[in-house]
Amino acid sequence: MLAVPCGPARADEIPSDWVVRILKAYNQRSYQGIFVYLKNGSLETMQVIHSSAQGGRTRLVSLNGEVTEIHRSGDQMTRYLPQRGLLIEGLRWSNPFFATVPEDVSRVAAHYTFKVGADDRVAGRECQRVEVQPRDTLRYGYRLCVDRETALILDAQLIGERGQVRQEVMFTRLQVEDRLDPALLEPGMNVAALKRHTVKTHLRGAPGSDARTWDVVEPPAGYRLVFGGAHSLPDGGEQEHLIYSDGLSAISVFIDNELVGGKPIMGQTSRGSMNAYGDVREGHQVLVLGEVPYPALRAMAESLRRRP
Amino acid sequence: MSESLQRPPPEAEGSSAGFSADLSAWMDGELSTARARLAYRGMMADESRRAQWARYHLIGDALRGSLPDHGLVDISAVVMARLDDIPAQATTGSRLMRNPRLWGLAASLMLAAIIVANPWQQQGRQGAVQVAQQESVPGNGASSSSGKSDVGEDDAQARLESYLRNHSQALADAGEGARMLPYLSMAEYTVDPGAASSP
Repeated sequence: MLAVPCGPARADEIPSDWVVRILKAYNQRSYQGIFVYLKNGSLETMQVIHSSAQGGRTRLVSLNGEVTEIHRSGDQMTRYLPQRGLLIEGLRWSNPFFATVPEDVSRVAAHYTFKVGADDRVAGRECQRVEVQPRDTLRYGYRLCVDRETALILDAQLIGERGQVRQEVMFTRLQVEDRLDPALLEPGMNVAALKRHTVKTHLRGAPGSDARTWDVVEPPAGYRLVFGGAHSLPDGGEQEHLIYSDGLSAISVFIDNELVGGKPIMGQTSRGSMNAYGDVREGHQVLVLGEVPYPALRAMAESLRRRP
Repeated sequence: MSESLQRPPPEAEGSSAGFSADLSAWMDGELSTARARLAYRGMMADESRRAQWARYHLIGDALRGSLPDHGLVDISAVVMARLDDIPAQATTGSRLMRNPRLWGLAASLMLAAIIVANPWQQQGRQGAVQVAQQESVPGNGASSSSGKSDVGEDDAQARLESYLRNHSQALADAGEGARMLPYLSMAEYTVDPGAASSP
């Protein structure tokens, strides 16, 4: 059980072992439930079935709108669209259930505070409100309700600059299982009747790649380079891709290696909780993207330089 | 003959659990009219109970796929309609719809703030992503200022979707997970049918 910490001074902040438990909880239990979230102003409802066995397997089933199932096993993801007669495979999924917690929880703590809030109930389960507050304006915060028994996040809100809720995911039902029937993880349709499509991956790169030709020389505080790679574009060009992360938030910086010949994307734009900022540097289209405030995206773009 | 008040079990009186039980019974038609009116008065006086009411119906509507287009429901209208057994309808022309500021207040009664967002909206104005005219692209050394044209809107939207897919794909390679909202990221991972091909 999560016990509210007590003691002098910063008693409202949670200890780092809580943070570790919360971040690892997704993969350490088997469970099934229903969650809701907002998409383009509408409420979407999905069923989730997760097994912690075999490295973690997850099945998501849409409960409204187009019939969709999304299956994850390790970092491989498959999408089933029976109404379109499609099965799309070859998708990769960053393992959100991270077997390894951010290697340096203290790095996260340098830029966020984790504060205990009130007791609450979500999906009929007792949970603890936790505020993840950014220490500056270069990242968003979260309001969570953490299940007291399992440390699973039952309700998560992404909080914007003015305290507005930019996105929310909330369980309306959750059942924790000791053992999950593997049959529950199988697709609920005749897969043989679907046309199989494979996503072509055009990405080359690796964490810490040194083959990059651009750098963000002064990234915003706390963000460090975690990936450098390149995408092959359909028109034959290449697009360099850098990812910077502070442990909770990730920012992508894209630089099209071809000089801009058409109409570049300029300025600020957003899609749901994702923000993007377009610019042109030395004649190249630059696009910076992430679930972070615009000042962080602009700082990335303005600090982008060619490597010597 | 007047309907007698059903005395609620002691643990239900005044408690959140008691209201939940009443709400469920009310919606199943198993609560006396007198008790229903009592629950209604309690709800009008207590914001947390109104929030419970909103969640109950919003979740039910979501599960049935019958959310109103604008995602907003006038709470008091729903309550009165239920009492009068008239099907509730979204008040799309209501005061709330005309004054966007009130969306925040109404939304606080619901699961989350309503975010009006179509794919890739320019900040500060509705509509397409702004794409600069070719002649505004600078020479070497300087970053440009934003352009004003709406030309190439579809192309810009498609390119932004492509960036988003590459962002998600590369996060997998970097081992950077969607820390706090993993299921959302998983559900929203965009797939371009054009990027997929038959084996």
